[in-house]
Amino acid sequence: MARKKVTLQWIANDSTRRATFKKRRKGLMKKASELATLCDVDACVVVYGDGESQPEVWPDDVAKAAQVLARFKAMPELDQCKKMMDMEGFLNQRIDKLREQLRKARRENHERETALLLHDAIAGRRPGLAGLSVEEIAGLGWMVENRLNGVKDAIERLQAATAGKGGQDVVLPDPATATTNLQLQLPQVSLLPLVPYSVDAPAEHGHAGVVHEAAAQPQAPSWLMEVAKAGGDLGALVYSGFGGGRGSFGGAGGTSVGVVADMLPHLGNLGAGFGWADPGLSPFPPI
Amino acid sequence: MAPPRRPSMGRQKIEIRRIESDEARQVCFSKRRAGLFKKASELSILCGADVAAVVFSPAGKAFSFGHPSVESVVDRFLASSTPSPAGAGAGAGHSSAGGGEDRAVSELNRQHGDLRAQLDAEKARQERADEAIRKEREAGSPAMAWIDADLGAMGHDDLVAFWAALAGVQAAVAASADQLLRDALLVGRRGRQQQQPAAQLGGGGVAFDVGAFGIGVQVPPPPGFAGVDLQGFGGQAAAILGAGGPS
Repeated sequence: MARKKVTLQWIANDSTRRATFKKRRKGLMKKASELATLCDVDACVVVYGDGESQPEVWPDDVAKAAQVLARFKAMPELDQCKKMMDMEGFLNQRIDKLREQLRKARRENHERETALLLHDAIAGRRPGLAGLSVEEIAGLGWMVENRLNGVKDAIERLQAATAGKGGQDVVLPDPATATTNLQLQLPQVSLLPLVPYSVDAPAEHGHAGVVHEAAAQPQAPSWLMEVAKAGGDLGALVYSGFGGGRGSFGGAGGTSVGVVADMLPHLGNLGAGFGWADPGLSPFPPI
Repeated sequence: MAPPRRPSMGRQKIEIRRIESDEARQVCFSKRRAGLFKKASELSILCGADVAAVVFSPAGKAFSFGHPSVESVVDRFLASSTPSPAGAGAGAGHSSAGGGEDRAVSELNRQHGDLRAQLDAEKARQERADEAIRKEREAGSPAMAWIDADLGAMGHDDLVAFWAALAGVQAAVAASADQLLRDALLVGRRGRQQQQPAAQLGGGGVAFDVGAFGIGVQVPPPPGFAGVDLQGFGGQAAAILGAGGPS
């Protein structure tokens, strides 16, 4: 039979309590003995059973025990009380320790469960994140943000290292690398029907942006200007980051620089258009 | 003769003799003193015994634990251990502690038990989460490999793919938060009253509504901008591959 955790309360059953008392008293004396021997220090334990007038003491010799206690009593009052504990103080100490452990365990568990949620979301097991609570979505959002920042930093470090190499060595693998990137990303994106996406016919994107712009403009001009400004800035920022990456792939060719410059306004416009479309739907559901 | 050390460095029985190293002895004293006091407290709780434990540290300081108090038990013992004609005949009566103190101790015991139960529950949760994570690793899930991997050791292709996946999840999070916000807006007349100011304020209005409903969800970036991120990345891929990319 395996040991079960003992409830820390007074044992009501007389015989059980007496048996426990004998066993635990012996164990306590043994612990005192080991402490005194290992650390070469004086120790004394006095135990009065319930209703007993004669105590059990360690060391066994009453005179030695009395001697240790006399030494304790001879100390100044301050030194005696400085390290003295009673039951309430001891229990309060243990309660504080347990509270700290509980708080730490809860935080670690929250991180683990959010990591599992992130994994499920990436693996496409939770389309639209259905069934999650507000707290879970908030935690997942923060974890995604942190991971995105980490990945972005790592990519920038890799690009910085690549830029140091000769341009000729990097040019040839470009098509394979680009193809691999696209193949890797397509399955992930296809699992998210909430975000319309297509890599062909860029002109169509521009058209969609124009349509959304026309549709949204009459309802809230000032709001539209704010969103357009923010969206434009964000799109430009994102594109600038990857523009640098493209430059490193293209080497030092003047033609590549020209291509990047030509593409920048167009992609920025696409970003702004998409930004209009998405928030344009959210603030006016009841209308 | 010291016992031969086993291959693992787990718990081992030690010889009960004086520890030579001063630092090790001090550490041992601290640990065992705490254990001794814990055992003493348990004995007094379970069996209603009066206990006093006094130890002197290697540096000569006194540490003590007692129930009901160190003084009462020590004084009682010293009085009884000293032979005196007057005290020999009459046994010292057991003076029970006040009801107030017993109630306080009982309440602290209950708190202690509750906290221990909660801690056990948290450990069970941790084991379940670890089990799920381990299962995903054994299944060879690429997503779990990304989450576990050290970013500094990942290749450029992996980093770009991971970034795309995270951007997708971010878009889903934004859409989900958006849906929750929309549901909150549709609830109650207060939402309707807030509708006009929201329209006037535009983007800022959305944040204001979040505050008005007391929804403390701040899911960065704001709804809609995640789409911009994804679009920008998609544009980059299109630029790399040209307009005729496979689709």
